[in-house]
Amino acid sequence: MFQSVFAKKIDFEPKAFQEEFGSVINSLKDNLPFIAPELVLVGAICVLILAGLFVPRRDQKGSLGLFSLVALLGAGWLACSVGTSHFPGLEKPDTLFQGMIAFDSFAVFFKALFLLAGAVVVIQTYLSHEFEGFAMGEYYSLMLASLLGCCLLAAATDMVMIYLALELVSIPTYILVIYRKADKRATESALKYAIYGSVAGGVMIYGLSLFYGLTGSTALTSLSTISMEGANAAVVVIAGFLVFAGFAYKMAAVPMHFWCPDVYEGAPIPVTSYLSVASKAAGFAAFVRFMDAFGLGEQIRIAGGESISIQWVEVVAIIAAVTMTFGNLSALFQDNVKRMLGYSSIAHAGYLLMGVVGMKGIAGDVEGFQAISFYFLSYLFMNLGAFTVVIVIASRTGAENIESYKGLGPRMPFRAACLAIFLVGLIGLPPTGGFTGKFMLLKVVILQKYYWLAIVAGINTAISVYYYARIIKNMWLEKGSSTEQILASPLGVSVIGLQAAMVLVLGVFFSPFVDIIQRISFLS
Amino acid sequence: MIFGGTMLSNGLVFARYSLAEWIQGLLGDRLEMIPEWILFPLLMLAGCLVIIGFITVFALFAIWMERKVSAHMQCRLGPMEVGFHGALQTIADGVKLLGKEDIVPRHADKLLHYLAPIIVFAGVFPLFVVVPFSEKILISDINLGLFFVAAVGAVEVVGVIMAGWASNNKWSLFGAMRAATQLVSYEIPLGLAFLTIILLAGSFSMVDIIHQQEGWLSNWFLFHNPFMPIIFLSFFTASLAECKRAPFDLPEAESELVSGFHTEYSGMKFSIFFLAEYAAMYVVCAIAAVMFLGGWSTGIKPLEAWLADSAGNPMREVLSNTVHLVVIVTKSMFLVFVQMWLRWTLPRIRLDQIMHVCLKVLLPWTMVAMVATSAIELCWPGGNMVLTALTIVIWSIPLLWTLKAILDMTVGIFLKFVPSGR
Amino acid sequence: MTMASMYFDYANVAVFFVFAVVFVILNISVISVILRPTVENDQKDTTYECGEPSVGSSWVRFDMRFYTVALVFLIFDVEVAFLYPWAVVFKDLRGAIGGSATGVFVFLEAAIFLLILFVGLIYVWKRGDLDWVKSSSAQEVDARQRQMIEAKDEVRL
Repeated sequence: MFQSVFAKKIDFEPKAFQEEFGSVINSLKDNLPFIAPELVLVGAICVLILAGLFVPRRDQKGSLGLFSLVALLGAGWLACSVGTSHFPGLEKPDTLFQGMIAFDSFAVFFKALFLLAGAVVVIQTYLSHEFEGFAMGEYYSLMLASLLGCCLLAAATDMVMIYLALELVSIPTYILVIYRKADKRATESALKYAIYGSVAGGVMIYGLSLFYGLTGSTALTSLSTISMEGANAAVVVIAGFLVFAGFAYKMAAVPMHFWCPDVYEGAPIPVTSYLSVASKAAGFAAFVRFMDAFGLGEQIRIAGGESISIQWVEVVAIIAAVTMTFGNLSALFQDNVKRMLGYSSIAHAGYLLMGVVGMKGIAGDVEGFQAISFYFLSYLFMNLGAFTVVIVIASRTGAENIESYKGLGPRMPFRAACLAIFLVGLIGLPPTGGFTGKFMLLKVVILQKYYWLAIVAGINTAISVYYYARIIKNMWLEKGSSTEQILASPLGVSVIGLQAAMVLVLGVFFSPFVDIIQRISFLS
Repeated sequence: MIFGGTMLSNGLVFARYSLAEWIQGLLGDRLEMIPEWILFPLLMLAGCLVIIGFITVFALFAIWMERKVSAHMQCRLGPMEVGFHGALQTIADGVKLLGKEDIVPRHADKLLHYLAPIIVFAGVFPLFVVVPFSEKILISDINLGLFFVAAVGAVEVVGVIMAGWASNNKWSLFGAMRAATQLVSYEIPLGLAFLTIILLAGSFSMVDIIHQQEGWLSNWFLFHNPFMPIIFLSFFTASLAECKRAPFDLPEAESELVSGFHTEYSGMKFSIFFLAEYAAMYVVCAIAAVMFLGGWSTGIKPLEAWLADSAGNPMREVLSNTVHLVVIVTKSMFLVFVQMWLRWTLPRIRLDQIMHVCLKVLLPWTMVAMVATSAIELCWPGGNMVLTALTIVIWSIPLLWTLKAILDMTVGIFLKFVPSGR
Repeated sequence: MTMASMYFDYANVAVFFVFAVVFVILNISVISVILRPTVENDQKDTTYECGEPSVGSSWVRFDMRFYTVALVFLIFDVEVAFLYPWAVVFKDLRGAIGGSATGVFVFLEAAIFLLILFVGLIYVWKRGDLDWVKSSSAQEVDARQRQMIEAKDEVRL
């Protein structure tokens, strides 16, 4: 007995080890230029942390904000240029770091999207009144750290990498939510958020570990090799739902949406707007990648010989329908604008999930993930724009309630008009990017013959008109207590105007953007 | 099932360097009569017994030495009654402790109170598996040697916290909290020092590390480059703290906390804490000797070559092992003596000072020294004679200064006893 | 090296561990029980706090500062743990000639890793989290922020 145990030899050749390791290191070296945007972010994080300690507190919001803006735009430019120069025509995908992250046009598009969203959020932070007198070094470095996580999440093709990136997105945001730590609402919501996040993360990694157990590999591509015989099937179903839970948390989809309204209300508004766009988009990007590898439907044979089929696409469709209905119905009765936008963001998660349902689109036409990409592009401008106006209003008047928006229209005509455009976009009416995006989403769903889902989405759009229009009505048709003009800062007006213009451009001259979107593809 | 003769003959015995091999040599062919499943555990148990014997003898000696050193530093005589110059005093104390009652406070957590000394001792004792005494006298040369030390050495703190918490005594709790802070913090410079040595040796194994330092004295890692003495000082300071030795003896500060985390321990349980502490003292000093002072190497190249040349001369091997045993134990005991010396030289420092020393002095310096060492190792693989010479020159200045101070002091004390002219 | 010696090594560790546990139990529960007296006394079992009757349990909450120390430890100890594998292969990858390209890259990787952690060290240092007694200026800043937020909340309400 002992003989066999003790006499086994290890094949350990130092020379071979050295050569193999050398080649690994060379491949790492070669891959470094392709993560240039991420490296820029890491450098900026370090600089910001240190600058936050040495720059006088009074100047931090402006100077550090400017620095992070430059870093984000620089990283975004790098992301685009690395993406396009290496792959003319945005195709020919490849993987980096031994298959840990993908370098495909899908990832490049989302990276650019996150970094743009981050830049807008930085400007919003500057416009916001909530951070007067705060040390901002940590704020900006956490924001950039979370964006770094987003960039990695959109590109992750390995289950471990997905989990790590997801946590890198989440953990800094827990702190960002509680950044005004004396604020009681923020404290409450941050605690809820952190507990929810850790539970969802734990559940998700449990599911991922089951997949690892089934395949013996952490690569996403290995998911398609799972044999669906016998007991495996049950494990796959359980693991699938566990992993869905983790993604649903990030996307704020039912049933993992409970944190969303509280956190949106409690957090500082720039953080809310960050959560509603960048971190949600990252969750969607990873979910699309995961679903593509996992497959949308499976035929499962149970041990007894009976055969049942579980169509993941059905599950996603049901989640989508429930999510959008829940979000819209709850948003109807909200008084707080931030909370209402929180529920609206849940509803949008439902709309976007339609893109996952129709992911395997018809060849030559817009595919599901392309519709998601386009919707996020317009959602970026609509939602961030709406939040920018909300921030301006909150900073100038302290108003966060829908009631207190009464009569704001004549007091700040340009910005209120822009807010109306953003809200029309969020409803999904022409001539805005919201309409184009929603049209694409509905189209891919209808092409997949999920007519009921399209009808549910249509009804939901009709419901959502009520609460979005209420704000517009309050601003323009109701009389407020004051008629005094509200001060306009050039920066605020120009940012809001640009975003409104983009929303309109995406609604009218959308064809160049649709061209870009249609060239997006990802590794599968 | 019989232990194969082929394995014995081709030299690949189950452990290259081990006590087990010696026993093999003693038993010779008769070894084949014993089935493996009896032989192997027996060999390991023999190792345990040898080590427990060593620890006991070392503790007896070190406690006596500590008392003598402290006494002479304070111009006292210390224990003189039992045996020659009180040499048997510790044995008498030990026998007394055996007969002491075991008292567990009424409000204590009985189970944790019982487990604590077990964990503390079990966190130190396995470290002796990797502590080498000579080429042939060591339990086994684990290929993860230093990493093993870092990992298992960290277990002790659990026992200490457990002891303090379970006692339900405020003194104990304070002691335990201080111990936790201190032990945990000082693991960082300790780990960085390990890292530097691993980097230089390219191996975790203790025996490999010693082999890298064979030859002349200048091959010792202490003299590898001008930054290594910094690492050594930091390691030694951290190891003092890890052993809870003065000036880092806050967890058991007699004058403030009665006896710290083991206030509520009496009789044999107390002795176990004591034994573990002294065992840890030897372990850290032996490891420091291995890491920086060439282990069992004498530092004289011709002598080493002569000792290693055992062809046709079986007694030479025995001689070599004996010399090396003496050398490494002497080096370790010298470091143990320095520990005692420091105890009676430096006053105990406060908790905030402890944290200051660890995080603001040792950590940055060790980090910088580590990076510098790796850069030097990158530029001049295997070290550089000029750097070694530079190290010796630079660091001999403070060393000579210290020696002068000691000389002044001892001569001064001596002069006090010489009757003056009056 | 052979698997044989590796199994032997770790079996040794296990035996040493078990031996240590058995040794202590033997000492405190067997040998000492035979040798020592046991005289019951109510006073003897009380908590020793220098003769004063002890007030309340000592199982209390710890100071927050210990938590900070634990966090700092966690960060830097994990750093060291990450560097162990690097350190052990450094010599192999560096090669026999000084300044080889692979060696420089491997060195720079670890140096950047350490640099980022060093930034973290500077950060906690400057913020005063390494001081056992946090500087009063840092506490003042916290208090000022709290006041400001409370004032703002009043305005909003």
